[in-house]
Amino acid sequence: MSQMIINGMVLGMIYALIALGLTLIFSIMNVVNFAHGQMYMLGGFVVYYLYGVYQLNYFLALIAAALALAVIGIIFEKFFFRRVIRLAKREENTMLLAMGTALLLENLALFSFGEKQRGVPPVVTGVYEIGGGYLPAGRALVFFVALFLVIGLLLFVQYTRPGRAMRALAQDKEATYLQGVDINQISALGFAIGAALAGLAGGLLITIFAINAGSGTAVSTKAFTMIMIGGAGVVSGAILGGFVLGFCEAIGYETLPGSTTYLIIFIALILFLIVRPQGIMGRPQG
Amino acid sequence: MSLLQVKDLTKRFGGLTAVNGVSFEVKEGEILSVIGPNGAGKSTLFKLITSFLKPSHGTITFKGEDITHLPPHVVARKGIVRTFQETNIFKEMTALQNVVLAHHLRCRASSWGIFFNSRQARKDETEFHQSALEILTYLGLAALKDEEARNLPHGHLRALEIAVALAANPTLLLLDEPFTGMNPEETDTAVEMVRGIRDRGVTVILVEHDMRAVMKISDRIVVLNFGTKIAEGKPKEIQQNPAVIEAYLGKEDEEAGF
Amino acid sequence: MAATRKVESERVEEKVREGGKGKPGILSSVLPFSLSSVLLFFLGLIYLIIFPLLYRDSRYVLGVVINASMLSVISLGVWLTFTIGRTNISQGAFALIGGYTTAILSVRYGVSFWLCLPLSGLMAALIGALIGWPILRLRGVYFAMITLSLTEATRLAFLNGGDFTRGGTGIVDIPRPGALSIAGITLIPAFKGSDPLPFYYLAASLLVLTLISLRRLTQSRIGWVFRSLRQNEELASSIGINVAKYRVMAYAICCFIGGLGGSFFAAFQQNIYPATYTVTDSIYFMLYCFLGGLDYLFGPVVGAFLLIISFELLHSIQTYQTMIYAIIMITFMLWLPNGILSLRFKK
Repeated sequence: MSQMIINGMVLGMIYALIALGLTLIFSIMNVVNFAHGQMYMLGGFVVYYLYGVYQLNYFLALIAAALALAVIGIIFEKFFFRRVIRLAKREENTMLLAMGTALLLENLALFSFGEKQRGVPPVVTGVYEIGGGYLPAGRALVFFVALFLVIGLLLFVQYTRPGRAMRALAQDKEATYLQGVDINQISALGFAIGAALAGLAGGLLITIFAINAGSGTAVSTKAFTMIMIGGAGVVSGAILGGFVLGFCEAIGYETLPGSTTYLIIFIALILFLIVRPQGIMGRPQG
Repeated sequence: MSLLQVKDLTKRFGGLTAVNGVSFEVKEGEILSVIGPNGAGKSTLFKLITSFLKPSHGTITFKGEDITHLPPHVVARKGIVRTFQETNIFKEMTALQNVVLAHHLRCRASSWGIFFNSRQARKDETEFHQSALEILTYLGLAALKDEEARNLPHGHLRALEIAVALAANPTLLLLDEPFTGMNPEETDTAVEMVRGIRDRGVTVILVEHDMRAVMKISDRIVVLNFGTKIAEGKPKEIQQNPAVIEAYLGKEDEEAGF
Repeated sequence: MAATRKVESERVEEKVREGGKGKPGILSSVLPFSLSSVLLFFLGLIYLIIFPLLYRDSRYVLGVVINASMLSVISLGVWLTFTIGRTNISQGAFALIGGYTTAILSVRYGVSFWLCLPLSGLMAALIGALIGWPILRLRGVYFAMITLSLTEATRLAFLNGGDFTRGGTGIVDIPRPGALSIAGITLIPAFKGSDPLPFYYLAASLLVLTLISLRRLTQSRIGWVFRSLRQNEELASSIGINVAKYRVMAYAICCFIGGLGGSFFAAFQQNIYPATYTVTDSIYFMLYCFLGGLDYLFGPVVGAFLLIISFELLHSIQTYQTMIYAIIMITFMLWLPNGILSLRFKK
């Protein structure tokens, strides 16, 4: 029992981080970043090479992952999404573009890194015992770094100038523009932060779960599930969705065979959306 | 007997009560205006009557039948059709296609009949085509029938919205701010048009800000303020009602047209 | 932008003064049929009769065209859901359902392929209608995300189906279609050996039938209702259109077509696995639609044939297929968002 709670907390925390990145981009640009999982995977690979292969300090590797993904995020926003959002008559166009970027990243990774599963040696060793459950030190580290990042992001969005501009942009694009905010700059920043969060999550989680070039789609699917549970574009919803999914997984893996966990999660998700299409925290559509 | 009866209608959004215990009746063949300051709950009232929103409390009776909890398309089938405050049209269809489509309720062919283009389906479509042309001509849109709706100027767009609503063959037509954005001349034409619609046997309820038009067109007026009905009566009575003047205080002179 | 709007409104006002007299096209007044219908007739003739006669001995060429034809069919379903304004990433799931229906019925219960084919479509349509009814209330990215999850969920369901679906090993001994006879008269002889020609005729007929049916559907009132749902669901329900009914109808037809496609491929390839159709396949079906152009019925056909045949011609780049698909997706959205057909045919 307490083992399930420990696992659920760790998973939930890191999932919240993933969902936050996705929801941040969605709220600012109304784009679902289908490449979110691929960005997670790339973040994992950066850490794998810098820390796992070249023996660099783990935290430096993590920062490098964040920066690399931030750069990819800016490139995507500047050269792809900005133009398509401006020209698109249909919402579908940005969706297909986002799917295209996901395939592109996945294939670039496949050609550069191959198909092999990659993991890294643990950063810290040791095991804590909490109320009859075991918490390996590596997982504790992941939990606290993720917690730190989530709090940092919330403070950033709440109290800094660009953070407030992001919130304003999510509320009302035109009013924000009229206030003299450079929308392109803020959008690029939002995309960069969202991508960096995905990269950080990948860099953190590679110390627990190995990844390969094809891991992205599964992570994206999980991220979509989280924001559908919590409500898309809502910060509190992303965190809640992350924890709900984290606990469902933790419980499912203890009690159910193999991949039935996700089958049940998807069925439950569809049933849940019948009752509450906007998610727990989301605003009703239309 | 009255055509529509609204009894004790209430709608709450969270802590906010948008419509609070409103009751009134609409007689067959009349033009009833619902007025009130911004945020008085007029649009919410419209959405409740046409079932686009579910009321928290109260009933709506149409032709003696309780229609409170029917879905919107069934309410339309019963004969209550609305227009919208913001421009609402099938933008990528021509004016004619818009109006032909809006005859949907009069379709007698089944889905299979429509697919296989049965005799009934063809008969329906010929009929709708003619009727649509008639409606467009009546509203002065015949010349623009093959123009895509998104290219139409504002005044014609308003008329087209009414044409779409008329095509659905309403007994009761709800117009949400039909005169918004029109100059006085255009408004006068539109007022005549609404009268004409009523003379064809359609009962009309309208929500409107333009007091000059409201006073001119209405048989009776219902006044809402903060979701509550504060007055009901003939235009003359409403103009002299102290509660109404109070509600509009500060802009009663020119803006409100009193 | 503002300038073009102005010109547009001037043009409209001119029209008001003119009294709406349009000029008839020159060609349409001379010819009793349009040029494009003549073109279509000859294309159909080549596709159904001349091409298979020329290439009857080339298994490879026939195989490529069979693939392109059936992928077009499956994508046409997705195209239909685009007309009601939904981005549908679930077509892979329904192809999978159709494929497994055929596999299980024919392998386990010995049902004839000719019965399996429609039953697979119906099974997919039934499941599609049941799931579609609640999830079609979602729009835009929400619908896209839930349909993506649906494709994943379906794959997992077949993976965990135990002995019934044979899990990850899939069903690999699906028989070829037998003879179809009614009252002792053989209408279609059994598909013998490894000759792909009968499959070619079947695929070609299914594509032509799907095109004809969808053309009829989109030109009828139902098609207009579908388009109205994409443009304005609120207005549609206010004029009495049963929005829920029509969007489920569109989705169920899409799923039916997906099921047919899955059934065909199960019999053609004689196997099916949970990973036969994945999220990536669902995205490719959408890509074919976009590539040809969402506004055109022939869009998915043009998209599918173009991509599949060009990859066969360019053997050397086949390893990079997904990469190139990705680049095409991005490039098209950046510079040709309305598809290839928009270059030639203005809507």
